[in-house]
Amino acid sequence: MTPVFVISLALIMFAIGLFGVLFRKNFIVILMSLELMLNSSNLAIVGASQMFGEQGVQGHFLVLMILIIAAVEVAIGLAIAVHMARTADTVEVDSLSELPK
Amino acid sequence: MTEVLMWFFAILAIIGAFTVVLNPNPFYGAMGLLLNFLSIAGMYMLLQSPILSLLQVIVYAGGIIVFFLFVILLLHLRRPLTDRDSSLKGIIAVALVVVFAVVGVSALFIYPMNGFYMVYVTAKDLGQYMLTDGLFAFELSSFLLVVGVVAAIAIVKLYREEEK
Repeated sequence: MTPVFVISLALIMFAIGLFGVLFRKNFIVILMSLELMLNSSNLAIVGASQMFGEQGVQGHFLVLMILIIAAVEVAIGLAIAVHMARTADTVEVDSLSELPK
Repeated sequence: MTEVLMWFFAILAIIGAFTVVLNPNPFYGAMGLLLNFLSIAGMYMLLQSPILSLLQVIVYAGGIIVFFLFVILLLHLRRPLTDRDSSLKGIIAVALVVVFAVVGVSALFIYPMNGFYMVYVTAKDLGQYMLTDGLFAFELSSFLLVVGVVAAIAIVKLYREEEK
């Protein structure tokens, strides 16, 4: 178990999440991909903070803060998704464009 | 033993991540996200941090996944989604992401990095840090949570007002 392994795993997960954000159109799936990216950054921070011994508690605290931010982001994002589905009857992000093509 | 577990959790995490991104049904995507979160909780356990592992299971797997499932089942959209982007955009997305991953991982392997110097982080350590040095950030995060609740309610009320 090396830091390189952990941070590589986090980087690959981040890349997959980024791919989901770019590739998918379903708003809920985009939110899930964003969760994936936040989660991979958490893993990278824990892996990096365990290289510094006692001072690593700071990294753990940062992960806790990211956890809270992720929770708030999901709450607001899903409220927007519900509103989107009620008004436009879809959660596809492209169909919400109101400019003529 | 640690080596075996670490590869096991890493492969499960990658499988879960690909399920989220590639499965057309968002319900299975949420299940893939659950698999990913649980294997990341296992990685935290291997990284000597049981408190974060527990928080990962409680907050992510127990809270956020259930929230996603609620919304997926509540919306229950009849029209099948013409998901996934057109081919050209898809190819560009794949190329960008592959370049990102390859450059990042190769940079990690090129530069020398220290080994682990692990400390077993308990809830006591984290709580002590939270209420001394991290007190301001902790208070700000409570403010952020209140803002999130108010914003979610305001967005839902938006629809009620349009209806009238």
